[in-house]
Amino acid sequence: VSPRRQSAGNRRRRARGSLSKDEIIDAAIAIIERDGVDKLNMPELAKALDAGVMSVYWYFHSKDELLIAVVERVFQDMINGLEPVGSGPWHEEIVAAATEVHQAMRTTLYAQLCRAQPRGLVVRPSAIPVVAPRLEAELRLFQDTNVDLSQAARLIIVMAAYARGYSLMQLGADDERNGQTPEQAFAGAVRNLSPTKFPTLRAVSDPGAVVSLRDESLYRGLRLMAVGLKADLESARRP
Amino acid sequence: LSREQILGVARQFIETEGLQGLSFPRLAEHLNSGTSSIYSYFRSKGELVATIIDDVTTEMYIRLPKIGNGPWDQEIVSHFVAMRDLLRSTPVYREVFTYRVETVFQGSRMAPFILQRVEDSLGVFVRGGLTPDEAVEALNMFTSYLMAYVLVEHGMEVEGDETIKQLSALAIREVAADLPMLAAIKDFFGEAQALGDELYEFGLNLLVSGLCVEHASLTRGSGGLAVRSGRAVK
Repeated sequence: VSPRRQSAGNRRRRARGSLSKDEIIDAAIAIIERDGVDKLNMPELAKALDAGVMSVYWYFHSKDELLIAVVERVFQDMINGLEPVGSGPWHEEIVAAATEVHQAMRTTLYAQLCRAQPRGLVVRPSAIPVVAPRLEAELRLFQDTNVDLSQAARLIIVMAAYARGYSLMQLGADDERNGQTPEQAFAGAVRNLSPTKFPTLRAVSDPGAVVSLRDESLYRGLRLMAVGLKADLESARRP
Repeated sequence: LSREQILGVARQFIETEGLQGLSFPRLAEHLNSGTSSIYSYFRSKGELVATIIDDVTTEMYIRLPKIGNGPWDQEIVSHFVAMRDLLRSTPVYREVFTYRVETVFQGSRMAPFILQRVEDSLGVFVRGGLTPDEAVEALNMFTSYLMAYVLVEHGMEVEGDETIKQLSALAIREVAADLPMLAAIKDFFGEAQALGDELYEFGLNLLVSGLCVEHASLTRGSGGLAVRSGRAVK
Protein backbone atom coordinates (compact mmCIF):
# COMPACT_ATOMS: atom_id res chain seq x y z
CA VAL A 1 0.00 0.00 0.00
CA SER A 2 1.44 3.34 -1.03
CA PRO A 3 1.62 6.10 1.57
CA ARG A 4 -0.73 8.16 -0.58
CA ARG A 5 -3.38 5.51 -0.62
CA GLN A 6 -3.02 5.02 3.12
CA SER A 7 -3.64 8.66 3.82
CA ALA A 8 -6.60 8.62 1.46
CA GLY A 9 -7.96 5.66 3.41
CA ASN A 10 -7.76 7.55 6.65
CA ARG A 11 -9.73 10.44 5.30
CA ARG A 12 -13.46 10.32 5.10
CA ARG A 13 -14.85 10.20 1.61
CA ARG A 14 -16.29 13.48 0.60
CA ALA A 15 -20.02 13.90 0.44
CA ARG A 16 -21.58 13.36 -2.96
CA GLY A 17 -22.99 16.89 -3.20
CA SER A 18 -19.53 18.44 -2.78
CA LEU A 19 -18.30 17.29 -6.19
CA SER A 20 -18.88 19.36 -9.30
CA LYS A 21 -18.60 18.68 -13.01
CA ASP A 22 -15.85 21.27 -13.31
CA GLU A 23 -13.85 19.70 -10.54
CA ILE A 24 -14.10 16.27 -12.15
CA ILE A 25 -12.98 17.73 -15.48
CA ASP A 26 -10.00 19.44 -13.77
CA ALA A 27 -8.94 16.17 -12.20
CA ALA A 28 -9.34 14.29 -15.50
CA ILE A 29 -7.17 16.88 -17.27
CA ALA A 30 -4.51 16.51 -14.58
CA ILE A 31 -4.44 12.73 -15.12
CA ILE A 32 -4.29 13.08 -18.90
CA GLU A 33 -1.46 15.62 -18.66
CA ARG A 34 0.49 13.31 -16.40
CA ASP A 35 -0.19 9.86 -17.89
CA GLY A 36 -1.93 10.33 -21.26
CA VAL A 37 -5.52 9.74 -22.36
CA ASP A 38 -5.20 5.97 -22.37
CA LYS A 39 -4.49 5.91 -18.65
CA LEU A 40 -7.64 7.82 -17.73
CA ASN A 41 -10.25 5.59 -16.10
CA MET A 42 -13.13 6.21 -13.77
CA PRO A 43 -11.76 4.40 -10.66
CA GLU A 44 -8.42 6.29 -10.86
CA LEU A 45 -10.26 9.52 -11.36
CA ALA A 46 -12.49 8.85 -8.34
CA LYS A 47 -9.42 8.10 -6.25
CA ALA A 48 -7.78 11.36 -7.32
CA LEU A 49 -10.93 13.19 -6.28
CA ASP A 50 -11.26 11.32 -3.02
CA ALA A 51 -14.72 10.29 -4.08
CA GLY A 52 -16.53 7.06 -4.77
CA VAL A 53 -16.56 5.90 -8.38
CA MET A 54 -20.37 5.98 -8.37
CA SER A 55 -20.30 9.69 -7.54
CA VAL A 56 -18.24 10.31 -10.66
CA TYR A 57 -20.63 8.21 -12.74
CA TRP A 58 -23.46 10.29 -11.33
CA TYR A 59 -22.06 13.27 -13.25
CA PHE A 60 -20.67 11.44 -16.29
CA HIS A 61 -22.34 8.22 -17.30
CA SER A 62 -19.35 6.91 -19.20
CA LYS A 63 -15.72 7.62 -19.93
CA ASP A 64 -16.75 8.76 -23.41
CA GLU A 65 -19.16 11.28 -22.00
CA LEU A 66 -16.43 12.55 -19.68
CA LEU A 67 -13.95 12.79 -22.57
CA ILE A 68 -16.41 14.88 -24.57
CA ALA A 69 -16.71 17.30 -21.65
CA VAL A 70 -12.93 17.38 -21.19
CA VAL A 71 -12.29 17.98 -24.88
CA GLU A 72 -14.81 20.78 -24.89
CA ARG A 73 -13.13 22.52 -21.97
CA VAL A 74 -9.68 22.08 -23.51
CA PHE A 75 -10.96 23.37 -26.84
CA GLN A 76 -12.51 26.48 -25.32
CA ASP A 77 -9.38 27.23 -23.28
CA MET A 78 -7.29 26.74 -26.41
CA ILE A 79 -9.38 29.17 -28.46
CA ASN A 80 -9.34 31.72 -25.63
CA GLY A 81 -5.54 31.46 -25.49
CA LEU A 82 -4.99 32.26 -29.18
CA GLU A 83 -3.37 35.51 -30.30
CA PRO A 84 -5.96 37.88 -31.74
CA VAL A 85 -6.36 37.88 -35.53
CA GLY A 86 -3.99 40.47 -37.05
CA SER A 87 -4.83 43.39 -39.27
CA GLY A 88 -2.54 42.81 -42.28
CA PRO A 89 -3.63 41.63 -45.75
CA TRP A 90 -6.11 38.74 -45.67
CA HIS A 91 -3.88 36.26 -47.49
CA GLU A 92 -1.22 36.63 -44.80
CA GLU A 93 -3.40 36.94 -41.72
CA ILE A 94 -5.62 33.99 -42.58
CA VAL A 95 -2.53 31.77 -42.85
CA ALA A 96 -1.15 33.13 -39.57
CA ALA A 97 -4.49 32.38 -37.89
CA ALA A 98 -4.58 28.77 -39.11
CA THR A 99 -0.91 28.32 -38.18
CA GLU A 100 -1.67 29.60 -34.71
CA VAL A 101 -4.47 27.04 -34.29
CA HIS A 102 -2.18 24.24 -35.43
CA GLN A 103 0.50 25.22 -32.92
CA ALA A 104 -2.08 25.46 -30.17
CA MET A 105 -3.32 21.98 -31.01
CA ARG A 106 0.19 20.65 -30.64
CA THR A 107 0.93 22.44 -27.36
CA THR A 108 -2.40 21.76 -25.63
CA LEU A 109 -4.11 18.42 -25.07
CA TYR A 110 -6.63 19.09 -27.83
CA ALA A 111 -5.03 17.04 -30.62
CA GLN A 112 -4.31 14.16 -28.25
CA LEU A 113 -7.91 14.17 -27.06
CA CYS A 114 -9.35 14.28 -30.58
CA ARG A 115 -7.28 11.30 -31.51
CA ALA A 116 -8.79 9.38 -28.59
CA GLN A 117 -12.27 10.76 -29.20
CA PRO A 118 -12.74 12.09 -32.77
CA ARG A 119 -16.12 13.54 -31.81
CA GLY A 120 -14.06 16.20 -30.06
CA LEU A 121 -13.44 17.72 -33.50
CA VAL A 122 -17.03 18.84 -33.76
CA VAL A 123 -17.63 22.37 -32.53
CA ARG A 124 -20.43 21.84 -30.06
CA PRO A 125 -23.19 24.43 -29.60
CA SER A 126 -21.89 25.47 -26.19
CA ALA A 127 -18.49 26.32 -27.76
CA ILE A 128 -19.99 28.57 -30.41
CA PRO A 129 -19.99 31.74 -28.26
CA VAL A 130 -16.23 31.19 -27.79
CA VAL A 131 -15.38 30.39 -31.42
CA ALA A 132 -17.76 32.75 -33.17
CA PRO A 133 -16.00 36.06 -32.34
CA ARG A 134 -12.74 34.68 -33.70
CA LEU A 135 -14.41 33.54 -36.91
CA GLU A 136 -15.99 36.96 -37.24
CA ALA A 137 -12.55 38.54 -36.89
CA GLU A 138 -11.22 36.21 -39.61
CA LEU A 139 -14.13 37.02 -41.90
CA ARG A 140 -13.59 40.73 -41.31
CA LEU A 141 -10.18 40.36 -42.97
CA PHE A 142 -12.02 39.97 -46.27
CA GLN A 143 -14.07 43.14 -45.94
CA ASP A 144 -13.47 45.44 -48.91
CA THR A 145 -11.52 42.79 -50.82
CA ASN A 146 -12.46 40.93 -53.98
CA VAL A 147 -13.12 37.74 -51.97
CA ASP A 148 -16.81 37.30 -51.35
CA LEU A 149 -18.04 36.16 -47.99
CA SER A 150 -18.93 32.60 -48.96
CA GLN A 151 -15.53 32.06 -50.59
CA ALA A 152 -13.84 33.40 -47.47
CA ALA A 153 -15.87 30.97 -45.36
CA ARG A 154 -14.92 28.06 -47.60
CA LEU A 155 -11.25 28.98 -47.38
CA ILE A 156 -11.43 29.18 -43.59
CA ILE A 157 -13.20 25.81 -43.34
CA VAL A 158 -10.79 24.01 -45.67
CA MET A 159 -7.72 25.47 -43.98
CA ALA A 160 -9.06 24.52 -40.57
CA ALA A 161 -9.65 20.93 -41.67
CA TYR A 162 -6.12 20.74 -43.12
CA ALA A 163 -4.44 22.18 -40.01
CA ARG A 164 -6.46 20.12 -37.55
CA GLY A 165 -6.11 16.84 -39.40
CA TYR A 166 -2.39 17.45 -39.86
CA SER A 167 -1.85 17.79 -36.12
CA LEU A 168 -3.62 14.45 -35.57
CA MET A 169 -1.42 12.78 -38.16
CA GLN A 170 1.71 14.22 -36.56
CA LEU A 171 0.58 12.81 -33.25
CA GLY A 172 0.28 9.38 -34.87
CA ALA A 173 3.79 9.65 -36.22
CA ASP A 174 5.15 10.78 -32.82
CA ASP A 175 3.51 7.83 -31.06
CA GLU A 176 4.93 5.12 -33.08
CA ARG A 177 8.50 5.87 -33.86
CA ASN A 178 10.33 2.74 -32.88
CA GLY A 179 13.84 2.64 -34.18
CA GLN A 180 13.43 3.85 -37.74
CA THR A 181 11.47 6.92 -38.67
CA PRO A 182 9.12 6.66 -41.66
CA GLU A 183 11.49 9.07 -43.47
CA GLN A 184 14.46 6.77 -42.94
CA ALA A 185 12.45 3.70 -43.92
CA PHE A 186 11.23 5.30 -47.10
CA ALA A 187 14.64 6.68 -48.03
CA GLY A 188 16.10 3.22 -47.40
CA ALA A 189 13.60 1.60 -49.77
CA VAL A 190 14.35 4.18 -52.46
CA ARG A 191 18.11 3.57 -52.30
CA ASN A 192 17.61 0.06 -53.70
CA LEU A 193 15.55 1.14 -56.68
CA SER A 194 16.75 0.97 -60.26
CA PRO A 195 17.61 4.45 -61.58
CA THR A 196 16.27 3.57 -65.01
CA LYS A 197 12.86 2.44 -63.73
CA PHE A 198 12.60 5.11 -61.04
CA PRO A 199 14.38 8.13 -62.53
CA THR A 200 12.54 10.79 -60.51
CA LEU A 201 12.71 9.12 -57.11
CA ARG A 202 16.41 8.37 -57.60
CA ALA A 203 17.11 11.98 -58.61
CA VAL A 204 15.57 13.35 -55.40
CA SER A 205 18.09 14.59 -52.82
CA ASP A 206 15.94 13.74 -49.77
CA PRO A 207 13.43 10.97 -50.59
CA GLY A 208 12.33 10.80 -46.94
CA ALA A 209 10.59 14.13 -47.56
CA VAL A 210 7.88 12.20 -49.46
CA VAL A 211 6.50 10.88 -46.18
CA SER A 212 7.57 13.51 -43.64
CA LEU A 213 5.07 15.52 -41.58
CA ARG A 214 6.98 18.70 -40.79
CA ASP A 215 5.24 21.77 -39.42
CA GLU A 216 6.76 23.88 -42.21
CA SER A 217 5.19 21.67 -44.90
CA LEU A 218 1.75 22.37 -43.46
CA TYR A 219 2.40 26.09 -43.20
CA ARG A 220 3.56 26.15 -46.78
CA GLY A 221 0.41 24.29 -47.87
CA LEU A 222 -1.79 26.75 -46.00
CA ARG A 223 0.07 29.65 -47.59
CA LEU A 224 -0.32 28.16 -51.07
CA MET A 225 -4.07 27.85 -50.56
CA ALA A 226 -4.34 31.54 -49.70
CA VAL A 227 -2.12 32.79 -52.53
CA GLY A 228 -3.85 30.31 -54.82
CA LEU A 229 -7.23 31.86 -54.12
CA LYS A 230 -5.77 35.34 -54.53
CA ALA A 231 -4.29 34.43 -57.90
CA ASP A 232 -7.50 32.72 -59.07
CA LEU A 233 -9.52 35.83 -58.30
CA GLU A 234 -7.02 38.15 -59.97
CA SER A 235 -6.86 36.06 -63.15
CA ALA A 236 -10.65 35.77 -63.23
CA ARG A 237 -10.91 39.56 -63.25
CA ARG A 238 -8.52 39.95 -66.16
CA PRO A 239 -10.16 39.60 -69.59
CA LEU B 1 -10.28 -21.71 -38.02
CA SER B 2 -8.34 -20.52 -41.05
CA ARG B 3 -5.93 -17.65 -41.46
CA GLU B 4 -8.34 -16.02 -43.93
CA GLN B 5 -11.23 -16.22 -41.46
CA ILE B 6 -9.16 -14.49 -38.80
CA LEU B 7 -8.10 -11.77 -41.21
CA GLY B 8 -11.67 -11.29 -42.42
CA VAL B 9 -13.10 -10.91 -38.92
CA ALA B 10 -10.20 -8.67 -37.87
CA ARG B 11 -10.98 -6.35 -40.78
CA GLN B 12 -14.64 -6.25 -39.84
CA PHE B 13 -13.58 -5.42 -36.32
CA ILE B 14 -11.39 -2.55 -37.54
CA GLU B 15 -14.23 -1.23 -39.67
CA THR B 16 -16.64 -1.05 -36.77
CA GLU B 17 -14.42 -0.34 -33.77
CA GLY B 18 -11.18 0.98 -35.19
CA LEU B 19 -7.62 -0.24 -35.20
CA GLN B 20 -6.90 1.07 -31.75
CA GLY B 21 -9.36 -1.24 -29.97
CA LEU B 22 -8.18 -4.41 -31.69
CA SER B 23 -6.78 -7.08 -29.36
CA PHE B 24 -6.49 -10.87 -29.52
CA PRO B 25 -8.95 -11.49 -26.66
CA ARG B 26 -11.56 -9.24 -28.27
CA LEU B 27 -10.93 -10.74 -31.68
CA ALA B 28 -11.26 -14.23 -30.20
CA GLU B 29 -14.66 -13.22 -28.83
CA HIS B 30 -15.80 -12.23 -32.28
CA LEU B 31 -14.45 -15.48 -33.71
CA ASN B 32 -16.07 -17.56 -31.00
CA SER B 33 -12.76 -19.22 -30.29
CA GLY B 34 -9.81 -18.99 -27.96
CA THR B 35 -6.83 -16.70 -28.47
CA SER B 36 -4.58 -19.72 -29.04
CA SER B 37 -6.08 -20.37 -32.49
CA ILE B 38 -5.12 -16.80 -33.43
CA TYR B 39 -1.64 -17.25 -31.99
CA SER B 40 -1.14 -20.30 -34.19
CA TYR B 41 -1.17 -17.96 -37.22
CA PHE B 42 0.03 -14.65 -35.79
CA ARG B 43 2.66 -14.25 -33.11
CA SER B 44 1.44 -10.83 -32.00
CA LYS B 45 -1.09 -8.09 -32.63
CA GLY B 46 1.69 -6.25 -34.46
CA GLU B 47 2.12 -9.14 -36.89
CA LEU B 48 -1.63 -9.38 -37.52
CA VAL B 49 -1.92 -5.64 -38.08
CA ALA B 50 1.11 -5.68 -40.38
CA THR B 51 -0.55 -8.39 -42.49
CA ILE B 52 -3.79 -6.43 -42.71
CA ILE B 53 -1.90 -3.28 -43.64
CA ASP B 54 -0.10 -5.21 -46.39
CA ASP B 55 -3.38 -6.59 -47.76
CA VAL B 56 -5.21 -3.31 -47.54
CA THR B 57 -2.39 -1.33 -49.09
CA THR B 58 -2.09 -3.76 -51.96
CA GLU B 59 -5.84 -3.74 -52.58
CA MET B 60 -6.03 0.01 -52.43
CA TYR B 61 -3.26 0.60 -54.89
CA ILE B 62 -4.70 -2.00 -57.24
CA ARG B 63 -8.09 -0.28 -57.17
CA LEU B 64 -6.57 3.15 -57.69
CA PRO B 65 -6.90 4.23 -61.32
CA LYS B 66 -3.63 4.67 -63.23
CA ILE B 67 -2.31 8.15 -63.74
CA GLY B 68 -2.99 9.30 -67.28
CA ASN B 69 -1.22 11.56 -69.76
CA GLY B 70 -3.51 14.55 -69.43
CA PRO B 71 -2.46 18.01 -68.26
CA TRP B 72 -0.50 17.75 -64.99
CA ASP B 73 -2.99 19.70 -62.87
CA GLN B 74 -5.93 17.65 -64.08
CA GLU B 75 -4.09 14.38 -63.40
CA ILE B 76 -3.13 15.49 -59.90
CA VAL B 77 -6.64 16.59 -58.99
CA SER B 78 -8.15 13.38 -60.42
CA HIS B 79 -5.61 11.27 -58.59
CA PHE B 80 -6.30 12.86 -55.23
CA VAL B 81 -10.06 12.80 -55.79
CA ALA B 82 -9.80 9.07 -56.55
CA MET B 83 -7.69 8.50 -53.43
CA ARG B 84 -10.26 10.16 -51.22
CA ASP B 85 -13.12 8.24 -52.87
CA LEU B 86 -11.29 5.00 -52.12
CA LEU B 87 -10.53 5.97 -48.54
CA ARG B 88 -14.17 6.80 -48.00
CA SER B 89 -15.52 3.70 -49.70
CA THR B 90 -13.94 1.29 -47.23
CA PRO B 91 -13.56 2.26 -43.57
CA VAL B 92 -10.68 -0.13 -43.07
CA TYR B 93 -8.63 1.76 -45.70
CA ARG B 94 -9.27 5.01 -43.93
CA GLU B 95 -8.36 3.53 -40.59
CA VAL B 96 -5.10 2.11 -41.90
CA PHE B 97 -4.09 5.03 -44.09
CA THR B 98 -4.99 8.02 -42.05
CA TYR B 99 -4.44 6.89 -38.50
CA ARG B 100 -1.39 4.83 -39.35
CA VAL B 101 0.35 6.90 -41.97
CA GLU B 102 3.69 5.87 -40.58
CA THR B 103 3.05 2.11 -40.68
CA VAL B 104 2.17 2.23 -44.35
CA PHE B 105 5.64 3.46 -45.14
CA GLN B 106 7.63 1.02 -43.02
CA GLY B 107 10.64 -0.32 -44.87
CA SER B 108 9.66 -3.97 -45.00
CA ARG B 109 6.30 -3.15 -46.48
CA MET B 110 7.45 -0.79 -49.20
CA ALA B 111 5.95 -2.86 -51.97
CA PRO B 112 7.36 -2.03 -55.41
CA PHE B 113 3.98 -1.01 -56.80
CA ILE B 114 3.62 1.64 -54.09
CA LEU B 115 6.99 3.06 -54.97
CA GLN B 116 5.93 2.90 -58.61
CA ARG B 117 2.86 4.94 -57.76
CA VAL B 118 4.99 7.53 -55.97
CA GLU B 119 7.31 7.63 -58.98
CA ASP B 120 4.35 8.15 -61.34
CA SER B 121 2.88 10.92 -59.18
CA LEU B 122 6.24 12.70 -58.97
CA GLY B 123 6.53 12.29 -62.73
CA VAL B 124 3.34 14.30 -63.21
CA PHE B 125 4.79 17.28 -61.35
CA VAL B 126 8.07 16.98 -63.22
CA ARG B 127 6.14 16.88 -66.49
CA GLY B 128 4.41 20.08 -65.37
CA GLY B 129 7.79 21.77 -64.92
CA LEU B 130 9.04 21.09 -61.38
CA THR B 131 12.44 19.68 -60.42
CA PRO B 132 12.41 16.27 -58.69
CA ASP B 133 13.00 17.94 -55.29
CA GLU B 134 10.19 20.40 -55.85
CA ALA B 135 7.98 17.53 -56.98
CA VAL B 136 8.59 15.72 -53.69
CA GLU B 137 7.55 18.78 -51.71
CA ALA B 138 4.42 19.14 -53.82
CA LEU B 139 3.46 15.46 -53.53
CA ASN B 140 4.01 15.53 -49.78
CA MET B 141 1.73 18.54 -49.52
CA PHE B 142 -1.12 17.09 -51.56
CA THR B 143 -0.91 13.76 -49.77
CA SER B 144 -0.99 15.31 -46.32
CA TYR B 145 -3.90 17.54 -47.30
CA LEU B 146 -5.82 14.46 -48.47
CA MET B 147 -5.15 12.52 -45.30
CA ALA B 148 -5.77 15.43 -42.94
CA TYR B 149 -9.06 16.18 -44.66
CA VAL B 150 -10.29 12.60 -44.61
CA LEU B 151 -9.27 12.21 -40.98
CA VAL B 152 -11.23 15.25 -39.85
CA GLU B 153 -14.16 14.46 -42.11
CA HIS B 154 -14.37 10.97 -40.70
CA GLY B 155 -13.98 12.10 -37.10
CA MET B 156 -16.83 14.53 -37.40
CA GLU B 157 -19.16 12.14 -39.21
CA VAL B 158 -19.69 10.27 -35.97
CA GLU B 159 -21.74 13.19 -34.73
CA GLY B 160 -24.38 13.69 -37.40
CA ASP B 161 -26.87 14.63 -34.73
CA GLU B 162 -29.87 16.81 -35.66
CA THR B 163 -30.21 18.26 -32.16
CA ILE B 164 -26.64 19.53 -32.33
CA LYS B 165 -27.45 21.25 -35.62
CA GLN B 166 -30.52 22.91 -34.16
CA LEU B 167 -28.69 23.98 -31.02
CA SER B 168 -25.86 25.40 -33.14
CA ALA B 169 -28.33 27.42 -35.17
CA LEU B 170 -29.80 28.76 -31.95
CA ALA B 171 -26.37 29.59 -30.55
CA ILE B 172 -25.51 31.53 -33.68
CA ARG B 173 -28.77 33.43 -33.59
CA GLU B 174 -27.89 34.56 -30.09
CA VAL B 175 -24.57 36.09 -31.14
CA ALA B 176 -25.77 37.26 -34.55
CA ALA B 177 -26.27 40.89 -33.57
CA ASP B 178 -22.58 41.29 -32.64
CA LEU B 179 -21.23 39.09 -35.42
CA PRO B 180 -22.98 40.16 -38.63
CA MET B 181 -20.55 38.57 -41.11
CA LEU B 182 -20.70 35.13 -39.55
CA ALA B 183 -24.45 35.41 -39.22
CA ALA B 184 -24.73 36.26 -42.93
CA ILE B 185 -23.20 32.91 -43.92
CA LYS B 186 -25.72 30.17 -44.31
CA ASP B 187 -24.98 27.32 -41.92
CA PHE B 188 -21.25 27.93 -41.38
CA PHE B 189 -20.90 25.28 -38.67
CA GLY B 190 -22.95 22.76 -40.62
CA GLU B 191 -20.64 23.14 -43.64
CA ALA B 192 -17.57 23.00 -41.42
CA GLN B 193 -18.78 19.76 -39.94
CA ALA B 194 -19.95 18.10 -43.13
CA LEU B 195 -16.92 19.08 -45.28
CA GLY B 196 -17.65 16.85 -48.30
CA ASP B 197 -16.58 16.53 -51.95
CA GLU B 198 -16.98 20.07 -53.08
CA LEU B 199 -14.93 21.68 -50.30
CA TYR B 200 -12.25 19.03 -50.68
CA GLU B 201 -11.87 19.80 -54.37
CA PHE B 202 -11.94 23.52 -53.65
CA GLY B 203 -8.88 22.97 -51.42
CA LEU B 204 -7.13 20.77 -54.00
CA ASN B 205 -7.58 23.42 -56.65
CA LEU B 206 -6.28 26.15 -54.38
CA LEU B 207 -3.15 24.08 -53.78
CA VAL B 208 -2.69 23.72 -57.55
CA SER B 209 -3.15 27.47 -58.09
CA GLY B 210 -0.81 28.29 -55.21
CA LEU B 211 1.83 25.97 -56.60
CA CYS B 212 1.62 27.81 -59.93
CA VAL B 213 2.16 31.12 -58.15
CA GLU B 214 5.17 29.77 -56.30
CA HIS B 215 6.78 28.10 -59.31
CA ALA B 216 6.93 30.24 -62.41
CA SER B 217 7.82 27.07 -64.36
CA LEU B 218 4.30 25.70 -63.84
CA THR B 219 1.23 26.68 -65.78
CA ARG B 220 -2.28 25.40 -65.47
CA GLY B 221 -2.34 22.97 -68.35
CA SER B 222 -6.06 22.47 -68.30
CA GLY B 223 -7.00 26.12 -68.39
CA GLY B 224 -7.48 26.64 -64.69
CA LEU B 225 -11.03 26.61 -63.49
CA ALA B 226 -12.00 23.75 -65.79
CA VAL B 227 -10.39 21.29 -63.38
CA ARG B 228 -12.87 22.27 -60.75
CA SER B 229 -15.40 19.79 -62.02
CA GLY B 230 -12.80 17.12 -62.75
CA ARG B 231 -14.20 14.13 -60.92
CA ALA B 232 -12.61 11.62 -63.22
CA VAL B 233 -13.18 8.53 -61.13
CA LYS B 234 -16.27 7.06 -59.60
